[in-house]
Amino acid sequence: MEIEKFSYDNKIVKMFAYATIIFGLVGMTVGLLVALQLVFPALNFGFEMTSFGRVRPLHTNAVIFAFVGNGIFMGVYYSLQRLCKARMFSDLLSRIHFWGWQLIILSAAITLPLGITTGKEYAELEWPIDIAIALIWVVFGINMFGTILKRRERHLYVAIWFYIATFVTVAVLHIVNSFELPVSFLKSYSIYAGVQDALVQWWYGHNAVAFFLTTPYLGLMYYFMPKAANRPVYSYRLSIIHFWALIFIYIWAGPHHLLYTALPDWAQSLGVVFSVMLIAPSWGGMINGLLTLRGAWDKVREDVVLKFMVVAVTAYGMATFEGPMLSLKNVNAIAHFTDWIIGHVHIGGLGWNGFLTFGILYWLIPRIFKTELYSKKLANWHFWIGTLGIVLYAVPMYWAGFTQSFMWKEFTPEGMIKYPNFLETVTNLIPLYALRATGGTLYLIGAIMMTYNLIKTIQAGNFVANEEAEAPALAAHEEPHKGEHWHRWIERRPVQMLVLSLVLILIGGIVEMVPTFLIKSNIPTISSVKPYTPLELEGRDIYIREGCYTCHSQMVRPFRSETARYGEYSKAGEYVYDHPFQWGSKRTGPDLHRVGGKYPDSWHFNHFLDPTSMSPGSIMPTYPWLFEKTLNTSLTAKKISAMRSLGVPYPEGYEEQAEADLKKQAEQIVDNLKKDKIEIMSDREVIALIAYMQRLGVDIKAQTASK
Amino acid sequence: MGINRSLKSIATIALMLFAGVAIAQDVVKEPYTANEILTNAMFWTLSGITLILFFIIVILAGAVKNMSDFWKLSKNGFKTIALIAVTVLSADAMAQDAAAATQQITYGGLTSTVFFLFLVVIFVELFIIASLFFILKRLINLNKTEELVEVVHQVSFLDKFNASVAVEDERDILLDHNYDGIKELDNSLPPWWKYGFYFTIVWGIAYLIYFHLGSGPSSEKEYNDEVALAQLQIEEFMKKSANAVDENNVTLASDAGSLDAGKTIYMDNCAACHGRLGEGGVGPNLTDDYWLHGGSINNIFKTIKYGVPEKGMKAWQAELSPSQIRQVASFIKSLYGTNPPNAKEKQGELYKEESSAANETTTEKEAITIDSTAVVTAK
Repeated sequence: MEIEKFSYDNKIVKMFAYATIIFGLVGMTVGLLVALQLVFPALNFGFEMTSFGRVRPLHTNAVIFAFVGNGIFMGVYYSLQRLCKARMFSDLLSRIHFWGWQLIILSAAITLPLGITTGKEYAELEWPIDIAIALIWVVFGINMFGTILKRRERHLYVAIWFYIATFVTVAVLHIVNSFELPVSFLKSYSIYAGVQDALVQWWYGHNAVAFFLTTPYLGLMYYFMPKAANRPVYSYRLSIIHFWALIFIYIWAGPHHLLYTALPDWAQSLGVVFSVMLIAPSWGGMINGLLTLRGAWDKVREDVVLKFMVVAVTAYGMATFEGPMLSLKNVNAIAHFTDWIIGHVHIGGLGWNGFLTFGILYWLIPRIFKTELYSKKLANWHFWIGTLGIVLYAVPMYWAGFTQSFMWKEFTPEGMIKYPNFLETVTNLIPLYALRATGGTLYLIGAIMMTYNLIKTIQAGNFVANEEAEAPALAAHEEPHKGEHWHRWIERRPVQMLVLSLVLILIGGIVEMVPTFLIKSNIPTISSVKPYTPLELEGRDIYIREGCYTCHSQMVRPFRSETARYGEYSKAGEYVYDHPFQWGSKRTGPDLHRVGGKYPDSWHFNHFLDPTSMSPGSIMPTYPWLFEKTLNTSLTAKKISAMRSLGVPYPEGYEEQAEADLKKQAEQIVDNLKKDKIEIMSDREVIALIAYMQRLGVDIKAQTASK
Repeated sequence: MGINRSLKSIATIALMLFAGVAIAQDVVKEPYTANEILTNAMFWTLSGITLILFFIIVILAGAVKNMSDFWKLSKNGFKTIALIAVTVLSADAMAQDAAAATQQITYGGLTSTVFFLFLVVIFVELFIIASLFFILKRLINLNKTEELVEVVHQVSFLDKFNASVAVEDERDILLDHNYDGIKELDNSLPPWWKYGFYFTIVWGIAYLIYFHLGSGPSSEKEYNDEVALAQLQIEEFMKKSANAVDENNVTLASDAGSLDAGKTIYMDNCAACHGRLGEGGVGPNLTDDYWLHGGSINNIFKTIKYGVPEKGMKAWQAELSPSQIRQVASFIKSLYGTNPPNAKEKQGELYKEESSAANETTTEKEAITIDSTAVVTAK
């Protein structure tokens, strides 16, 4: 067989590695800011662009798509070339992929603080950026598949199975969840409404965890862990079973984010059982990782890279056991909307993704720079400080979650809720929030130490941009071995593997979504629920812009403790005009679905200006700009017609009348405020937001009144 | 040999366990029909956990059996069995006490008796597992120090547990795969993992059957049951309590304790809108002669309780108990004539103190009892 000479492209790996480090530091710093804002609300600074509701999506997008995203590409570009014994398919595509991805991150960093958002968690970016993401993702896919097709290794290693599944599933998730109708260049509405939007969003949101934070990282683990430990992978059979089971089952589990909501019970149950079935496939990855270290535990004591990886895999195992437990309805009843979930995701984020990334960086940078790590001691310090940071982060969050949940649910013997003032359940948690910020600070300090260590390493090393390699060319045709494992068949056929993965991941989504969209009984209509008025619609867009959903839910769950606090529990039929839905996932503040009519307009006015004036001790940011900016009504007519195309029954030609109606309603609110000695112009943004607040959840009351 | 002895001890442990379960079944027999038990998800979950743990015990016991020699095990074994016996007995007694105290409370459809008995069994099993681990650890240490030669041939506990081939023999199962230097072993699936996976699948199917074909409650039914149960408990409580005050029978409180409590409630909940001194702000002035909705203690009580939502006064009945509303209403009455600075202009009708109680309160005696429950159950 002829030996071919070629080279690996290390430059693209280096570029992604640098981006990983930089955006890791940025994303964690922004995370620390939002953590501190909950302790010291003054850190919202009273500016639009630094208020919690806008910065929190910046944090989540930065750590998921910028830090972990670049980390994935770094690891994939390094390992894929070596596992395929081939250079990347096209250096040009690699560069387009890199710079395109960084541009997307940059545009996110600009648009999110400006309040340009779709209002769907972890999918906040507006439609032009969504299109850019899809295009760049396809570039990545072509580049990856091109490399796979010109490989010099007959069979695909398990890491590549995970990369393929990641590519195809993320593409499907992103495209389906991003169907939105543009109103202008920077504003769009989700084509789905209410319950359906919620189902699609959490099918996406959950599988963003599955196929962006999990499967690609499992692929990386399968390459870098055996490499770093110099041990064979524990079980090939386990790889096969846990891979296929994982990608098939994961896709079903999304509804566990919507337990005890207006989502139909049958869909909730599917979410529960598939989450529980997910334990073993998830743990398959952990077992295969940890048992690969059999006979190498003495190395773990010495080698900081392995230490990071062991903690990462252990954190993965903890998070993937905790997840199914949180999916049990009775546990979810306690944990949902609380800080428990924040603790849970950070075990995964800080432990699994963060530590595996650090481990890979410590292993990879010295290799591509042909040198030793600058300081093993410093890296060890990083390990311990980081681990302590995770513990200090997670423990207060679990504590806070339990505390708050039990305070929400406690009744006095007379049958009154014991802590009727929601704020009381929040102020209690502030010391825990402070402790969490301490944990986050330690973690960030660790990352800074790593950055210093790696810079020193890079300075001492000599970068090998093109690493020489050689391998025999692949024979045009090779007969399968006698008695080989049946799975070897598909390992020789990347296209079939892609198609099979696609089919498997489509099943769960289709079974859950199609009936929810097509069968009417899943979302019983409520005749008294009417479309929003133009002013309320504009107010709703401000609600979305300010990221209110990051702290407030709009979903009263069917529990006595919630109906006693908020009012009638939420029904599916109430959300049919909500493009997008705004159910939220966290209650740092109270639920708002029944807030309409609960307080006078003047209460809201004062509260937006300074929340502590109406609720002493509140940690909600102030919103002074809502009182200065005039409401932009230039798009109102377009918004009405966009909504009509999405099925909201505004009468034909209502666009013409919309602005007049909007002004009329604004004047009414101004009159109301005047009675309470408050003077304001009717064209201010806050008027629209007040109109939306007062509309929330009231339609159903009209129905009960008429009965 | 040692094997016989250890087998005996394991058999004894198993017997103790089954005895525990048998006691449990005796206690529960009456409230359930066999069918109800079979469709209960909690029952299956707990049974499942119990079985899994038992399975682990069997594996662990096997490992102990392999590693031990006659004298060492019999010493440790006796200790363990004695401990377990004591625990099982005392735990059973405890569970029965607990059950007697809280008959009606159910956990996922099981009475507390059954539920706690399951917990006890699970706890005992965990205890056995911990003990077996302890024994194993000691045995491993003993083997290391005293029988070095033998250790080489012993299968390590973890390998046994995972059914993996020992590291020394792994060349036998090394596949001919080589990816950039990464090789793969062909270890079989860890049995606990494999059977755990099967179990979750069976559990999943049982869950769907129970909740969607069987008698499992829907979210709506769970809610209605929860509210109905609460209603009963509240009614029980209210019968015994002096809290049954409403707008018809409320009287002005004048003792300092009530007024102080009223002041605290006022500052926490009312001051934001009505001013810290009652001078008014978003809401009306509470210190003057003019009232929008009546100035008698009964009317103020009513206004606070039900609110005037269309004018922005919220209903407080879900947040303040009747006696608290009385306290804060009495405090508000005590503000009369204090003439605070920045007082809001007069609103509503002139109210004269004398004309109040007799005229305004309709004395519908029968309404009192009905209302006393309405106070607390309104949503």
